[in-house]
Amino acid sequence: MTEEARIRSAITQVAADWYAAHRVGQPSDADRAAFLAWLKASPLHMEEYLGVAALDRSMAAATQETGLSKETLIELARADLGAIPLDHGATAHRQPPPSRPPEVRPWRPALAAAGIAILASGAGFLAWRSSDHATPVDVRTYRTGHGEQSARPLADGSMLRMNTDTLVTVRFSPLERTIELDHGQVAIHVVHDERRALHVRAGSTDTVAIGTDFDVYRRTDSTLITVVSGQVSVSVDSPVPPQRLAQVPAKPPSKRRVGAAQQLEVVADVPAPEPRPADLRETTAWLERKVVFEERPLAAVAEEFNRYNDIVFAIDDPTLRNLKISGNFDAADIASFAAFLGSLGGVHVERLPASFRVSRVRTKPTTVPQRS
Amino acid sequence: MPELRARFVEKLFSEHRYALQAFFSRRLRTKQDAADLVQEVYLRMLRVRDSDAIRNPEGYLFTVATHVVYEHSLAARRAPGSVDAEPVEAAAMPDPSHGFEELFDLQARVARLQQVLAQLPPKCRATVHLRYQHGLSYQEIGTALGISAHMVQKYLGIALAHCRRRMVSLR
Repeated sequence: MTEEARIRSAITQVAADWYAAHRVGQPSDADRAAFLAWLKASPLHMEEYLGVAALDRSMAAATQETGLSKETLIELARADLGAIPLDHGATAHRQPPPSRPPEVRPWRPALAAAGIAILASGAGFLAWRSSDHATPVDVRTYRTGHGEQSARPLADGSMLRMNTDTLVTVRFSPLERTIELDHGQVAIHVVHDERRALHVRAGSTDTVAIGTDFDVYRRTDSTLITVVSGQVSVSVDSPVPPQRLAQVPAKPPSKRRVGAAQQLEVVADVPAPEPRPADLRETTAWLERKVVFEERPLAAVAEEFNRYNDIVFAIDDPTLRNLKISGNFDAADIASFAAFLGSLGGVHVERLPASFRVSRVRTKPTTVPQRS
Repeated sequence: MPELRARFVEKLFSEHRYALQAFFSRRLRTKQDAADLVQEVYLRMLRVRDSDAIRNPEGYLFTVATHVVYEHSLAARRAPGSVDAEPVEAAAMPDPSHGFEELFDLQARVARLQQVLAQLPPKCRATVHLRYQHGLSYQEIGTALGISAHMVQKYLGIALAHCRRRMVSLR
């Protein structure tokens, strides 16, 4: 092996160690700084890191095709005597990144808090079960503030997760399960119960599920229903304004079936004729407090950040507002988003007390120079 | 709930796959482009002055990389007569699910990767499969194999580096 190959091999190992470390929890401040310094030290470091990350997709495909069961794999590992033959003499250069506390996910505390709630709701559930036949209803109201999220296990074992600025009222009775979404966004994992369908009502829009995972986002004038798995049925009661009663014949609310990885938008009480394919990454990113966007106009992305943060992005220039960008950020990490915008050619970002003002530098084009 | 969470995490885990793979795809390899793109990403990383502002350096790197690939595809679209010019609809984000060449590329890579994985020591290999095939956490893998989560992380690092080295020699 040449000296150059040896060095590259060692860099690959450090890159892979960092990559594996990053798949567990959030790095500490020190680790983060060390990683960034390592990345910036050489383009070779960065290329190897990207190369290791790019393996991901093939790794999933390659392992899945083998169809090995967990049991077989565990047996395979147990038969191993523990020797780790390593190649390439890479170990001499290794500086393994520090280990992390296992699996610390940002929303764990929320779930722990919710664990207390489940005891409380469980008690309520028993209370109305044992009470007499007057169809008792268990009513609970949950709310999140600006930038806040929470996870609520429901009495039937379903899980309700609420995004920022959300208000819901949950009504459970032995006969039905209803969640009224006053405003905001919820993702629901519905536990199967054939006798009690679960309804999510967002104004006039009623989404019915028996057992499935789906997301409902109610905005001022529209509601977006996205199904992750299973299917739901969506109907809209159209309250016909009195002055139009004469022209519009009364018709039964139309039902739309929305299947896995599809979404249906209801605008001003009118559902789209057909569900459309959904980008589940974008829809479900909020569950990890992420903002994920692919070729979306800058203005729309900025608005998404503004949902979570007190410091807002202000963009007036129409060209910039329509600039298509792609990326993936922690929703609260506005500093990184600002840095990202600043890294684009021709974009100037100014930090004001309550906002980031994003403007165009007139002398340069807003995209990278063309390549020959 | 755990399976729901696992599914979401898996989706997010994979969100940069296409863009990252584009760096190493055959289409880019045919020219100097891939090296240029890596260089461009690197320059933008260097522009980050205030390192404390970057809460998630890895996410930041992927985001910049994704965007550079996207800008590159736009530039290729605008340059008529260039070898890279493609129909507008195909040129947006590189997505291997469109285009036979990318698909072929992927199949070849997967087949090769299976051979490479088979070279790993058994514990290491089992760790990779439990992670990527069965979606277990480090902690869960550790419990199943009777080793520490830290050891699991180490095995994955060894396996990933091994695969990366062997896959580089493929191109």
